[in-house]
Amino acid sequence: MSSFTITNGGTLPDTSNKSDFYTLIGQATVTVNGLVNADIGAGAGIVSSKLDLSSITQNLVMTSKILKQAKGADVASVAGSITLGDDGNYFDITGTNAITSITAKAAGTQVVLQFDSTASLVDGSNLKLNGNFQGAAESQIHLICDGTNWFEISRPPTATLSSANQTEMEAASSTAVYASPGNINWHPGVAKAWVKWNGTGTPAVTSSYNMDSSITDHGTGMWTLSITTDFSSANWVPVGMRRNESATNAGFLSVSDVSAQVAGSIRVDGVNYDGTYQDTSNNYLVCFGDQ
Amino acid sequence: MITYLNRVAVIDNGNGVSITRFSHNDMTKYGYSDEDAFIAWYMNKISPGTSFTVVNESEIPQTNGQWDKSDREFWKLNGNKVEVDQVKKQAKEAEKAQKEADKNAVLAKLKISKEELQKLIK
Repeated sequence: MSSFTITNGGTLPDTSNKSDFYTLIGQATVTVNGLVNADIGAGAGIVSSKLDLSSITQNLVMTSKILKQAKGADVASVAGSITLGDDGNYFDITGTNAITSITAKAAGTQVVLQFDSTASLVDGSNLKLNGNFQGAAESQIHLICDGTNWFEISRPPTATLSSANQTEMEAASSTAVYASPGNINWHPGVAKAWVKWNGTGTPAVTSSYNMDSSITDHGTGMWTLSITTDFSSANWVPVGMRRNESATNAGFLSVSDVSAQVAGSIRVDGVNYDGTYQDTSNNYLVCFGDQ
Repeated sequence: MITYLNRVAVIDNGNGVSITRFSHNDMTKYGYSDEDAFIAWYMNKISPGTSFTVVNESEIPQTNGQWDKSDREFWKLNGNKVEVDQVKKQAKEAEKAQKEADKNAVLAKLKISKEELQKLIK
């Protein structure tokens, strides 16, 4: 029993010749040098147990091909440590427990965990996360191991949060949803409308949000401004100010007593320090309440 | 940019006039292409059930292209024009002059000037 080497450019023994065939199969090792892709036929099968790339020194190069990884068996969450199988890089995590650590794998091992329910990962121990990860159905997190710890690579930004709807915004209590620009106006602490207007000369609105730019002048220092999307009732809160443009017009804005408060407009008065009505150039009104 | 229609709505209740300016921006925002229809809708929004008259904004007392509100308290609607109610204005001025005369008569009786009185009451 000895070794047999087939060199690049060399020829295989004539295995039709019995003595050559026995010589070949009698070797303890057969080393093949210079094997190229073309030498491996499309029908050549490689037994999976024989494909061991652990000792190769070349880079693994693939051209126009996808690296297909397997989904391992589901792993049940436990309140403590879990172990991921060696049967894939993608695991479903079942159950609802808070996982505090994951058994380490070889450095460079990457896995994606998909949560089927509300199990969670607790930042700490060998889980180096960007904060705790609260799972939800179909939420995912991508981890890499350095041989000891698992580091978070990424998590989908909306994996555990959804945009608050009108009811949730108005309740102002949930911490499990986020306030989106399109719905933030429903929060009770957010101004529902505001307007700046010039009341001198020809009255005009300068800028506004959810207020009309049409304006009514009732007389010196008296205006009505209207709201685009009305409040749900007359019980809303206006807050008004005006700019003091000289020492003789320091004053304030007040809600007029001429008419009752209504849901869709407001009549306000500009009052000078001496109690007289007065037009001023810079008047400001902010409105809070339920729409 | 906010721009306004050339016409305004005027409500005269006998004790002064309320004038509403309408913006093109609102007309577009509320989906109107017809000014009269928009004005009617908007006036019903802010003053439901109240009759009004539409006039050209140029028919409001003006100075240098701006409303001249020096006699704002005497404005009244006359047909399709907003003007100063001279009768009311003169009556108010007469009342004011009478008050001043009465005040001066009291000061004369007290043998004190207006300035001295103001110093005393400050």
